[in-house]
Amino acid sequence: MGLYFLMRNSSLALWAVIAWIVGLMVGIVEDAAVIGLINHVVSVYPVATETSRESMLFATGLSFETIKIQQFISLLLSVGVGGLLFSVVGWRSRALPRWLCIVGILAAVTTGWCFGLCNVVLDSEDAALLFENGFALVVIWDLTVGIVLLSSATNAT
Amino acid sequence: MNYEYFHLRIAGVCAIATALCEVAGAAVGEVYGLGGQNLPVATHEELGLLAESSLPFLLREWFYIIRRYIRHR
Repeated sequence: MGLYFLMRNSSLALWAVIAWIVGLMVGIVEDAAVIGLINHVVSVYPVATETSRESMLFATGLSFETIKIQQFISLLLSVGVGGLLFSVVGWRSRALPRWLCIVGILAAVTTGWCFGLCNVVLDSEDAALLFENGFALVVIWDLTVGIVLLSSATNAT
Repeated sequence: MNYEYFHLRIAGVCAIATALCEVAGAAVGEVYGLGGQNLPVATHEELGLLAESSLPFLLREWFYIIRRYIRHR
């Protein structure tokens, strides 16, 4: 929302913040599902019979496939679309440093698009692990955006 | 002091906190060797492992869920 505040003169920024927030909402549901799944496995699996364990293996596998699709949608919307649009608007309006816009675009491509496509569509864990390194770019993006927003706040006084 | 000042300040602090949560989650994953973002639920051995050592997995996921809560600010 802070980035939207900085870039609100551009109509693209509105689409960016919508994609960003919807993606994050899907992501929160996904993370909650992971926590629920782990809690369920911890409480049920150790005391389950052999037959029950077979059913659990199927059920947890199915749940996790759903979680992976939620993760894909979440990353695609928040980082792949929202982050990409914020970077483009930041580049055009000069609200963000140019190098940060490039980092944002690279993060959008690697984690927003490639990671999810490899993990869900191609089902290739090795390729997904490779693109998972792109999350480092997301950390750099978040940290620097925080500093940019704080310095903008100082200028707004 | 105005509305824009407070809004940008809160957003800035939240963005930095988001990055710290991301680093903390990744650090937990690295220290305990949890591997990538995928949970180990494909075989009985993996499920048994998850049931035995669930705490680091839960800790990592809590960092990630907090990150997403504060990220949209």
